[in-house]
Amino acid sequence: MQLGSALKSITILEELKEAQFDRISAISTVEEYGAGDTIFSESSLAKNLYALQKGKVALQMQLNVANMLRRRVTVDLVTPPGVFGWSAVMESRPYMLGAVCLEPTVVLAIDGGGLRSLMMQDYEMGYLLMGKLIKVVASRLEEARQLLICERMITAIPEPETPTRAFSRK
Amino acid sequence: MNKRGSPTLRVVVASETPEVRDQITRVVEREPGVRVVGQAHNSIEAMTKAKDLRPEVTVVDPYLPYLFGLDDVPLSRMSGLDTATGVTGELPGAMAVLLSNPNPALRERGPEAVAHLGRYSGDFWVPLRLRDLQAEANPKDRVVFADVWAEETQASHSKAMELSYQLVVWGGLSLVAGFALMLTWIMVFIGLPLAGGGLVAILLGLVIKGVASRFSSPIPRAETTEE
Repeated sequence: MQLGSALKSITILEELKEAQFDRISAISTVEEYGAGDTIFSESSLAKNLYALQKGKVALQMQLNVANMLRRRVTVDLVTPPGVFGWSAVMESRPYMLGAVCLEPTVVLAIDGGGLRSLMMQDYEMGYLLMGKLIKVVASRLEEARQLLICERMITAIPEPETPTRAFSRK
Repeated sequence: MNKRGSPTLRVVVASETPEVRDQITRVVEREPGVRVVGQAHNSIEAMTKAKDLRPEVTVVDPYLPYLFGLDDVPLSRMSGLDTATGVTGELPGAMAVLLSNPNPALRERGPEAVAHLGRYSGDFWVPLRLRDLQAEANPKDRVVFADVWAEETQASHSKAMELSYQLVVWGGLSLVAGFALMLTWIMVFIGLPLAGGGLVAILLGLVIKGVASRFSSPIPRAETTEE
Protein backbone atom coordinates (compact mmCIF):
# COMPACT_ATOMS: atom_id res chain seq x y z
CA MET A 1 0.00 0.00 0.00
CA GLN A 2 1.28 3.46 -0.91
CA LEU A 3 2.03 5.44 2.23
CA GLY A 4 1.15 8.80 0.65
CA SER A 5 -2.27 7.76 -0.62
CA ALA A 6 -2.94 5.90 2.62
CA LEU A 7 -2.20 9.05 4.62
CA LYS A 8 -4.51 11.14 2.46
CA SER A 9 -7.37 8.69 3.08
CA ILE A 10 -7.22 9.33 6.84
CA THR A 11 -10.09 11.60 7.81
CA ILE A 12 -8.22 13.40 10.61
CA LEU A 13 -5.48 14.41 8.15
CA GLU A 14 -7.69 15.46 5.25
CA GLU A 15 -7.25 19.24 5.61
CA LEU A 16 -3.45 19.21 5.88
CA LYS A 17 -1.14 20.79 3.31
CA GLU A 18 1.27 18.81 1.14
CA ALA A 19 4.34 19.78 3.21
CA GLN A 20 2.55 18.73 6.40
CA PHE A 21 1.65 15.36 4.82
CA ASP A 22 5.31 14.84 3.95
CA ARG A 23 6.37 15.47 7.54
CA ILE A 24 3.77 13.02 8.85
CA SER A 25 4.64 10.37 6.27
CA ALA A 26 8.25 10.48 7.57
CA ILE A 27 7.02 9.22 10.97
CA SER A 28 4.46 6.71 9.64
CA THR A 29 4.63 3.05 8.70
CA VAL A 30 2.17 0.58 7.20
CA GLU A 31 1.63 -2.48 9.40
CA GLU A 32 -0.22 -5.70 8.58
CA TYR A 33 -1.82 -8.07 11.08
CA GLY A 34 -3.66 -11.37 10.87
CA ALA A 35 -7.05 -12.20 12.37
CA GLY A 36 -6.70 -12.61 16.12
CA ASP A 37 -3.47 -10.59 16.38
CA THR A 38 -3.18 -7.99 19.12
CA ILE A 39 -2.05 -4.59 17.84
CA PHE A 40 -1.55 -3.24 21.34
CA SER A 41 -2.55 -4.27 24.83
CA GLU A 42 -4.41 -2.29 27.41
CA SER A 43 -2.10 -0.43 29.83
CA SER A 44 0.95 -0.76 27.54
CA LEU A 45 2.70 2.53 26.80
CA ALA A 46 0.93 4.29 23.93
CA LYS A 47 3.45 4.62 21.11
CA ASN A 48 1.43 4.94 17.92
CA LEU A 49 -1.77 6.46 16.67
CA TYR A 50 -3.40 4.00 14.26
CA ALA A 51 -5.54 4.64 11.21
CA LEU A 52 -7.37 1.58 9.94
CA GLN A 53 -7.00 1.00 6.21
CA LYS A 54 -8.45 -2.50 5.87
CA GLY A 55 -10.06 -5.03 8.19
CA LYS A 56 -11.82 -4.75 11.51
CA VAL A 57 -10.45 -4.11 14.98
CA ALA A 58 -12.10 -4.73 18.35
CA LEU A 59 -11.15 -2.37 21.17
CA GLN A 60 -11.29 -4.25 24.44
CA MET A 61 -11.13 -3.44 28.12
CA GLN A 62 -10.22 -5.77 30.96
CA LEU A 63 -13.13 -6.35 33.30
CA ASN A 64 -12.31 -7.15 36.92
CA VAL A 65 -15.22 -7.74 39.22
CA ALA A 66 -13.86 -8.51 42.70
CA ASN A 67 -11.19 -10.74 41.14
CA MET A 68 -13.93 -13.24 40.31
CA LEU A 69 -14.95 -12.27 36.81
CA ARG A 70 -11.83 -11.52 34.83
CA ARG A 71 -12.72 -11.04 31.20
CA ARG A 72 -11.95 -8.71 28.33
CA VAL A 73 -14.99 -6.86 27.07
CA THR A 74 -15.29 -5.27 23.63
CA VAL A 75 -16.22 -1.63 23.97
CA ASP A 76 -15.87 -0.56 20.34
CA LEU A 77 -15.44 -1.95 16.85
CA VAL A 78 -13.32 0.05 14.43
CA THR A 79 -13.87 -0.20 10.69
CA PRO A 80 -12.05 1.78 7.92
CA PRO A 81 -11.32 4.69 7.92
CA GLY A 82 -11.46 4.72 11.72
CA VAL A 83 -8.70 6.01 13.98
CA PHE A 84 -7.76 4.44 17.31
CA GLY A 85 -4.97 4.53 19.87
CA TRP A 86 -5.34 8.28 20.32
CA SER A 87 -3.75 8.03 23.79
CA ALA A 88 -0.44 8.10 21.87
CA VAL A 89 -1.02 11.77 21.04
CA MET A 90 -1.14 12.57 24.77
CA GLU A 91 2.04 12.87 26.82
CA SER A 92 3.44 9.42 27.84
CA ARG A 93 0.15 7.73 28.51
CA PRO A 94 -0.74 4.04 28.49
CA TYR A 95 -3.39 2.79 26.10
CA MET A 96 -6.77 2.79 27.80
CA LEU A 97 -7.98 -0.14 25.66
CA GLY A 98 -6.47 -3.13 23.90
CA ALA A 99 -6.84 -3.60 20.12
CA VAL A 100 -7.47 -7.06 18.60
CA CYS A 101 -7.86 -7.73 14.87
CA LEU A 102 -11.02 -9.60 13.89
CA GLU A 103 -9.95 -9.90 10.24
CA PRO A 104 -6.68 -9.59 8.31
CA THR A 105 -5.92 -5.96 8.96
CA VAL A 106 -3.81 -3.16 7.48
CA VAL A 107 -3.13 -0.10 9.63
CA LEU A 108 -1.12 3.02 9.27
CA ALA A 109 0.90 3.57 12.43
CA ILE A 110 1.86 7.19 13.14
CA ASP A 111 4.52 7.63 15.80
CA GLY A 112 2.83 9.44 18.70
CA GLY A 113 5.98 11.18 20.02
CA GLY A 114 6.92 12.34 16.53
CA LEU A 115 3.40 13.62 15.93
CA ARG A 116 3.46 15.56 19.21
CA SER A 117 6.76 17.18 18.17
CA LEU A 118 5.32 18.12 14.76
CA MET A 119 2.25 19.60 16.42
CA MET A 120 4.46 21.68 18.71
CA GLN A 121 6.51 22.95 15.75
CA ASP A 122 3.50 23.69 13.57
CA TYR A 123 0.68 25.15 15.68
CA GLU A 124 -1.72 25.33 12.74
CA MET A 125 -1.35 21.60 12.11
CA GLY A 126 -1.53 20.91 15.85
CA TYR A 127 -4.79 22.87 16.12
CA LEU A 128 -6.31 21.06 13.13
CA LEU A 129 -5.31 17.59 14.34
CA MET A 130 -6.45 18.21 17.90
CA GLY A 131 -9.83 19.40 16.62
CA LYS A 132 -10.20 16.25 14.50
CA LEU A 133 -9.11 13.97 17.35
CA ILE A 134 -11.65 15.58 19.66
CA LYS A 135 -14.30 14.76 17.05
CA VAL A 136 -13.18 11.09 17.10
CA VAL A 137 -13.42 10.97 20.88
CA ALA A 138 -16.74 12.84 20.88
CA SER A 139 -18.27 10.43 18.34
CA ARG A 140 -17.24 7.47 20.52
CA LEU A 141 -18.79 9.14 23.53
CA GLU A 142 -21.96 9.90 21.57
CA GLU A 143 -22.34 6.26 20.47
CA ALA A 144 -21.79 5.07 24.04
CA ARG A 145 -24.45 7.50 25.24
CA GLN A 146 -26.88 6.35 22.55
CA LEU A 147 -26.39 2.74 23.58
CA LEU A 148 -26.84 3.61 27.24
CA ILE A 149 -30.02 5.56 26.55
CA CYS A 150 -31.50 2.88 24.28
CA GLU A 151 -30.75 0.12 26.79
CA ARG A 152 -32.23 2.13 29.65
CA MET A 153 -35.31 2.93 27.60
CA ILE A 154 -35.84 -0.73 26.75
CA THR A 155 -35.38 -1.88 30.33
CA ALA A 156 -37.73 0.91 31.50
CA ILE A 157 -40.62 -0.25 29.28
CA PRO A 158 -43.17 -1.74 31.70
CA GLU A 159 -44.41 -5.26 31.26
CA PRO A 160 -47.90 -5.33 29.68
CA GLU A 161 -50.43 -5.57 32.45
CA THR A 162 -52.96 -8.35 32.44
CA PRO A 163 -56.38 -6.85 31.69
CA THR A 164 -58.47 -6.62 34.81
CA ARG A 165 -62.22 -6.38 34.78
CA ALA A 166 -63.23 -3.10 36.34
CA PHE A 167 -66.83 -4.04 36.89
CA SER A 168 -68.06 -7.45 37.52
CA ARG A 169 -71.59 -8.54 36.95
CA LYS A 170 -73.17 -10.14 39.83
CA MET B 1 -19.92 -41.55 17.19
CA ASN B 2 -20.61 -41.24 13.48
CA LYS B 3 -20.50 -43.90 10.76
CA ARG B 4 -16.73 -43.53 10.33
CA GLY B 5 -16.15 -44.19 14.00
CA SER B 6 -14.94 -40.70 14.87
CA PRO B 7 -16.81 -38.84 17.59
CA THR B 8 -19.54 -36.49 16.42
CA LEU B 9 -18.57 -32.85 16.64
CA ARG B 10 -21.35 -30.97 18.43
CA VAL B 11 -21.78 -27.35 17.43
CA VAL B 12 -23.69 -24.30 18.66
CA VAL B 13 -24.27 -21.50 16.12
CA ALA B 14 -24.69 -17.90 17.29
CA SER B 15 -25.93 -15.06 15.09
CA GLU B 16 -28.60 -12.42 15.49
CA THR B 17 -30.01 -13.08 11.99
CA PRO B 18 -32.08 -16.29 11.60
CA GLU B 19 -31.11 -16.64 7.90
CA VAL B 20 -27.41 -16.43 8.77
CA ARG B 21 -27.84 -18.98 11.58
CA ASP B 22 -29.56 -21.40 9.17
CA GLN B 23 -26.92 -20.85 6.49
CA ILE B 24 -24.07 -21.44 8.93
CA THR B 25 -25.87 -24.55 10.21
CA ARG B 26 -26.06 -25.90 6.65
CA VAL B 27 -22.38 -25.04 6.05
CA VAL B 28 -21.07 -26.86 9.11
CA GLU B 29 -23.46 -29.81 8.87
CA ARG B 30 -22.22 -30.56 5.35
CA GLU B 31 -19.06 -31.82 6.99
CA PRO B 32 -19.44 -35.51 7.94
CA GLY B 33 -19.74 -36.12 11.66
CA VAL B 34 -20.79 -32.59 12.55
CA ARG B 35 -24.14 -31.85 14.16
CA VAL B 36 -25.56 -28.50 15.21
CA VAL B 37 -27.12 -29.01 18.64
CA GLY B 38 -28.24 -25.43 19.28
CA GLN B 39 -28.66 -21.95 17.91
CA ALA B 40 -28.44 -18.64 19.75
CA HIS B 41 -29.46 -15.13 18.75
CA ASN B 42 -27.43 -13.16 21.28
CA SER B 43 -24.38 -13.45 23.49
CA ILE B 44 -26.27 -14.33 26.66
CA GLU B 45 -28.15 -17.15 24.90
CA ALA B 46 -24.93 -18.40 23.28
CA MET B 47 -23.15 -18.56 26.64
CA THR B 48 -26.13 -20.28 28.28
CA LYS B 49 -26.47 -22.84 25.48
CA ALA B 50 -22.74 -23.48 25.49
CA LYS B 51 -22.81 -24.18 29.25
CA ASP B 52 -25.92 -26.37 29.00
CA LEU B 53 -25.15 -28.29 25.82
CA ARG B 54 -21.33 -28.40 26.19
CA PRO B 55 -20.55 -28.32 22.44
CA GLU B 56 -17.04 -28.94 21.17
CA VAL B 57 -17.36 -25.95 18.82
CA THR B 58 -19.28 -22.67 18.96
CA VAL B 59 -19.49 -20.75 15.67
CA VAL B 60 -19.99 -17.04 16.31
CA ASP B 61 -21.01 -14.07 14.14
CA PRO B 62 -18.76 -11.10 15.08
CA TYR B 63 -21.73 -8.70 15.07
CA LEU B 64 -23.55 -10.61 17.79
CA PRO B 65 -25.47 -8.36 20.19
CA TYR B 66 -24.95 -8.80 23.92
CA LEU B 67 -28.69 -8.94 24.51
CA PHE B 68 -30.37 -7.11 21.64
CA GLY B 69 -29.18 -5.24 18.57
CA LEU B 70 -30.33 -1.65 18.19
CA ASP B 71 -30.73 -0.03 14.80
CA ASP B 72 -28.36 2.90 14.23
CA VAL B 73 -26.28 1.95 17.28
CA PRO B 74 -23.36 -0.13 15.95
CA LEU B 75 -21.99 -0.47 19.49
CA SER B 76 -24.94 -2.69 20.36
CA ARG B 77 -23.65 -5.42 18.03
CA MET B 78 -20.08 -6.13 19.06
CA SER B 79 -20.17 -9.09 21.40
CA GLY B 80 -18.90 -11.69 18.92
CA LEU B 81 -15.32 -11.72 20.18
CA ASP B 82 -16.41 -11.55 23.82
CA THR B 83 -18.74 -14.52 23.30
CA ALA B 84 -16.00 -16.54 21.59
CA THR B 85 -13.45 -15.86 24.34
CA GLY B 86 -16.15 -16.29 27.01
CA VAL B 87 -17.14 -19.75 25.72
CA THR B 88 -13.56 -20.97 25.52
CA GLY B 89 -12.85 -19.51 28.95
CA GLU B 90 -15.86 -21.22 30.52
CA LEU B 91 -15.57 -24.58 28.78
CA PRO B 92 -12.12 -26.15 28.94
CA GLY B 93 -11.21 -27.80 25.64
CA ALA B 94 -14.03 -26.15 23.70
CA MET B 95 -13.23 -24.17 20.58
CA ALA B 96 -14.91 -21.04 19.21
CA VAL B 97 -14.87 -20.08 15.54
CA LEU B 98 -15.31 -16.35 15.01
CA LEU B 99 -16.48 -15.66 11.47
CA SER B 100 -15.40 -12.48 9.77
CA ASN B 101 -18.68 -10.76 8.99
CA PRO B 102 -20.66 -13.56 7.28
CA ASN B 103 -23.77 -11.43 6.76
CA PRO B 104 -22.88 -9.62 3.50
CA ALA B 105 -21.50 -12.80 1.89
CA LEU B 106 -24.62 -14.76 2.70
CA ARG B 107 -27.18 -12.00 2.14
CA GLU B 108 -25.74 -11.03 -1.24
CA ARG B 109 -26.20 -14.51 -2.67
CA GLY B 110 -29.54 -15.28 -1.02
CA PRO B 111 -30.69 -18.07 1.29
CA GLU B 112 -30.40 -20.80 -1.35
CA ALA B 113 -26.69 -20.10 -1.97
CA VAL B 114 -24.24 -22.86 -1.15
CA ALA B 115 -21.79 -21.43 1.37
CA HIS B 116 -18.39 -22.70 2.45
CA LEU B 117 -16.20 -22.33 5.49
CA GLY B 118 -12.59 -21.38 4.92
CA ARG B 119 -10.18 -18.52 4.82
CA TYR B 120 -8.76 -16.12 2.25
CA SER B 121 -5.05 -16.42 1.69
CA GLY B 122 -4.35 -13.29 -0.34
CA ASP B 123 -6.82 -13.50 -3.20
CA PHE B 124 -7.23 -17.25 -2.94
CA TRP B 125 -9.93 -19.06 -1.07
CA VAL B 126 -8.74 -21.95 1.09
CA PRO B 127 -11.64 -24.22 2.13
CA LEU B 128 -11.39 -25.51 5.70
CA ARG B 129 -13.42 -27.95 7.73
CA LEU B 130 -14.25 -27.51 11.40
CA ARG B 131 -11.85 -30.35 12.20
CA ASP B 132 -9.05 -28.49 10.35
CA LEU B 133 -9.77 -25.40 12.43
CA GLN B 134 -9.87 -27.54 15.56
CA ALA B 135 -6.41 -28.88 14.75
CA GLU B 136 -4.94 -25.41 14.33
CA ALA B 137 -6.57 -23.89 17.42
CA ASN B 138 -4.15 -22.45 19.94
CA PRO B 139 -4.41 -24.66 23.08
CA LYS B 140 -4.28 -21.50 25.20
CA ASP B 141 -7.24 -19.45 24.00
CA ARG B 142 -8.83 -21.80 21.39
CA VAL B 143 -10.47 -19.02 19.42
CA VAL B 144 -9.94 -19.35 15.67
CA PHE B 145 -10.92 -16.97 12.90
CA ALA B 146 -12.54 -18.06 9.64
CA ASP B 147 -14.52 -16.67 6.72
CA VAL B 148 -17.66 -17.72 4.92
CA TRP B 149 -17.85 -17.64 1.16
CA ALA B 150 -21.08 -18.17 -0.76
CA GLU B 151 -21.20 -19.67 -4.26
CA GLU B 152 -23.01 -17.89 -7.01
CA THR B 153 -26.51 -19.38 -7.28
CA GLN B 154 -28.49 -20.06 -10.45
CA ALA B 155 -30.86 -17.25 -9.45
CA SER B 156 -28.10 -14.69 -8.92
CA HIS B 157 -26.40 -15.90 -12.12
CA SER B 158 -29.57 -15.49 -14.20
CA LYS B 159 -30.16 -12.11 -12.54
CA ALA B 160 -26.67 -11.04 -13.58
CA MET B 161 -27.32 -12.33 -17.09
CA GLU B 162 -30.59 -10.43 -17.30
CA LEU B 163 -28.88 -7.29 -16.07
CA SER B 164 -26.10 -7.65 -18.61
CA TYR B 165 -28.67 -8.23 -21.42
CA GLN B 166 -30.58 -5.11 -20.37
CA LEU B 167 -27.34 -3.15 -20.27
CA VAL B 168 -26.47 -4.28 -23.80
CA VAL B 169 -29.96 -3.39 -25.15
CA TRP B 170 -30.09 0.00 -23.47
CA GLY B 171 -26.50 0.70 -24.43
CA GLY B 172 -27.34 -0.07 -28.09
CA LEU B 173 -30.41 2.17 -28.00
CA SER B 174 -28.39 4.98 -26.44
CA LEU B 175 -25.76 4.56 -29.15
CA VAL B 176 -28.39 4.81 -31.95
CA ALA B 177 -30.05 7.80 -30.28
CA GLY B 178 -26.67 9.47 -29.90
CA PHE B 179 -25.89 8.97 -33.58
CA ALA B 180 -29.33 10.33 -34.57
CA LEU B 181 -28.75 13.41 -32.44
CA MET B 182 -25.30 13.88 -33.91
CA LEU B 183 -26.75 13.55 -37.43
CA THR B 184 -29.48 16.09 -36.63
CA TRP B 185 -26.86 18.47 -35.35
CA ILE B 186 -24.78 18.04 -38.50
CA MET B 187 -27.88 18.54 -40.66
CA VAL B 188 -28.68 21.71 -38.79
CA PHE B 189 -25.19 22.94 -39.47
CA ILE B 190 -25.46 22.20 -43.21
CA GLY B 191 -29.13 23.20 -43.57
CA LEU B 192 -28.91 26.60 -41.86
CA PRO B 193 -26.27 28.14 -44.22
CA LEU B 194 -28.07 26.59 -47.20
CA ALA B 195 -31.41 28.09 -46.22
CA GLY B 196 -29.72 31.39 -45.45
CA GLY B 197 -28.04 31.36 -48.86
CA GLY B 198 -31.37 30.62 -50.56
CA LEU B 199 -33.04 33.48 -48.74
CA VAL B 200 -30.28 35.87 -49.78
CA ALA B 201 -30.58 34.65 -53.39
CA ILE B 202 -34.36 35.26 -53.35
CA LEU B 203 -33.94 38.73 -51.93
CA LEU B 204 -31.19 39.51 -54.43
CA GLY B 205 -33.41 38.28 -57.25
CA LEU B 206 -36.30 40.46 -56.10
CA VAL B 207 -34.02 43.50 -55.83
CA ILE B 208 -32.59 42.95 -59.29
CA LYS B 209 -36.06 42.48 -60.68
CA GLY B 210 -37.20 45.75 -59.12
CA VAL B 211 -34.21 47.66 -60.40
CA ALA B 212 -34.59 46.21 -63.88
CA SER B 213 -38.30 47.03 -64.09
CA ARG B 214 -37.62 50.63 -63.07
CA PHE B 215 -34.78 51.49 -65.43
CA SER B 216 -35.56 49.47 -68.51
CA SER B 217 -37.90 50.74 -71.30
CA PRO B 218 -41.30 49.14 -71.45
CA ILE B 219 -41.68 46.35 -73.90
CA PRO B 220 -43.83 47.51 -76.75
CA ARG B 221 -47.05 45.67 -77.14
CA ALA B 222 -47.88 44.13 -80.41
CA GLU B 223 -50.50 46.29 -82.08
CA THR B 224 -53.64 44.69 -83.20
CA THR B 225 -55.52 45.86 -86.20
CA GLU B 226 -59.16 45.96 -86.05
CA GLU B 227 -60.86 45.53 -89.16
